[in-house]
Amino acid sequence: MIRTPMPAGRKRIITVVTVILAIAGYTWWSHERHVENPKDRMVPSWSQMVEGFERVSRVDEDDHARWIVADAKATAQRLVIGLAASVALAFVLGILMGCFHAVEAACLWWVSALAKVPPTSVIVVIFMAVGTGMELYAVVIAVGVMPILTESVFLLVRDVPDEMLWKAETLGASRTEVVWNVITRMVAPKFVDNVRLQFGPAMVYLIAAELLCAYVGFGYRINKFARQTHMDVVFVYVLALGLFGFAVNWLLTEFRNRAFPWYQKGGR
Amino acid sequence: MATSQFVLQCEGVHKSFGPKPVLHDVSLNIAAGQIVALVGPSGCGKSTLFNGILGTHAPTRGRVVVGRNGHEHVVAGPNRHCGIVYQHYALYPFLTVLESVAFGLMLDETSLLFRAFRPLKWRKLRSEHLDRAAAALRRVHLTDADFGKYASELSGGMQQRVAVAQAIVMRPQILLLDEPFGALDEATRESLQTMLLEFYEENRSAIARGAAPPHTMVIVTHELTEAIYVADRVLGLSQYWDWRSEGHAACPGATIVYDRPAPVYRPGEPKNYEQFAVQREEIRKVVFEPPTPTPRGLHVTFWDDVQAGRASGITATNGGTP
Repeated sequence: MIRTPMPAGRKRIITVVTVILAIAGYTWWSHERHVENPKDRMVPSWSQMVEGFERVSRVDEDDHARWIVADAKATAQRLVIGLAASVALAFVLGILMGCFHAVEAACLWWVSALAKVPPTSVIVVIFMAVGTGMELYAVVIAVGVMPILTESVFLLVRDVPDEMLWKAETLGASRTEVVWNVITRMVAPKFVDNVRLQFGPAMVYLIAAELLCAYVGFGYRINKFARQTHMDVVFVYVLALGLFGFAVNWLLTEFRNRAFPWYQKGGR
Repeated sequence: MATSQFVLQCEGVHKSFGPKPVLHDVSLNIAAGQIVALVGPSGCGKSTLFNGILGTHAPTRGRVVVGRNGHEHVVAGPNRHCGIVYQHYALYPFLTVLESVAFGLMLDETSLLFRAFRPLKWRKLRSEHLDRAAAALRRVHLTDADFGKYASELSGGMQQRVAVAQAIVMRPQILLLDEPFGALDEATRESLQTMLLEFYEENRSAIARGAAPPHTMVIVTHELTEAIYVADRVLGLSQYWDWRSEGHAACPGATIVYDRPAPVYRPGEPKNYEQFAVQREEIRKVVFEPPTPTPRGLHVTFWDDVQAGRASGITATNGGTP
């Protein structure tokens, strides 16, 4: 039956089994490739990946830096700045659009149109406009993520029942207090969820920009080693990106649950 | 009765949505301490009138005035003077039961700037608000064990009690209840009806002490028995009236066609179902049945009944001047 409840323990077992199956499948695939060609690097073995990790984590003689540390630092910095700017702008603009029809009339068309433009297609335009500094990555992430987040906040605000707003006014709330004490608090946990879901696309846009324009960062390093078919290094970076994404997702979920306990208890 | 004694006055209220007329010349006066039930057929415009009184949908013509004794003001939007209780509660999901009731006190008695820049004073005031909120919750029969729960953790009846406490703690001039018990089971409904009778009892006690009655309410309901039981006055809004006799070619909208006293019950007093049946039948014929349009003034006799001593509620005990 659809949505038949399942014990939490059984769910965990299924998750672990699928992970083990994936690891086993990859190990078998890599083994098969290495039987045919012991030097194969397209599907590296686990030991090759360990070697790849050692290679990127020791201090490079030319750069005098550990590549993976330097790349992680550069990528994380770009991501945090780009995403923070997008999140702040989207939240404020979305709230204003949802609350005031004049702001909606002025901005919704632009936001909707921007949301339809693939940000990777305008990287070159952004590159011409702002150069290759931090601004490039922040703008690429903003173009990719901000319009969708803004639209989502706008729709969340519109979903707040009128009765709740009217009631706040009967309780003596000013217009600012209705926005701050009711709308913002109603929207916030769902917005955190939307940011969590947009984190993946933000990484995609950033890596794409780094592939094209950067001299340090995960995208740059993946591109460089992929051209040399050093998949042992590429896979290390992909794994690091996956773990990073997983950690951010977990952190945001924890933040949402702790900051908005009512939401976790089924309040909507 | 002096105009200044009325808490709510609707003066010739008309409302149209585009070319479609909904309300026609609705005029009514409600005195302090009354509990008035508003009944009418589905789609007759009860919610429109309700929203007009609340201020969310301004009348096309006419005006609504709330307040008394020199503090009257024309309603132009939802405001502090009108409390509201909705059928589906409209509780804020991010607040606990206690916070929900203290929420209005916070909004009404402090500002964002005060809360941000006077943290010590705000902390002291907050504690006082929480005490007042707790007292209001106990009045609607909620216990301290419920105070820390969120709305999503409460039953429908408990949520409605919180909504009522949230409104009465603000001491509004008038409290509007929009089908407040419509989504509740029979037992919960009866217990909440008794709660309204307790509020009415508080009004009577206040008048006996020479004080102003604290609760004036308008309750919209579909249940005629409920209307007669909890209210001291029943208003019928209907589109079924003899508009042709006033020279209209088409129905110009619903208006008040029934306004009569209802028997007053004390909390726990057994219901007289025979008395209910007579008034229910009268209301059904006048308000709900289309085939026999009625001249609209025929059953709008509440204030005449009060003057003639045919009413038994608060207005009667004070000779029409609560």
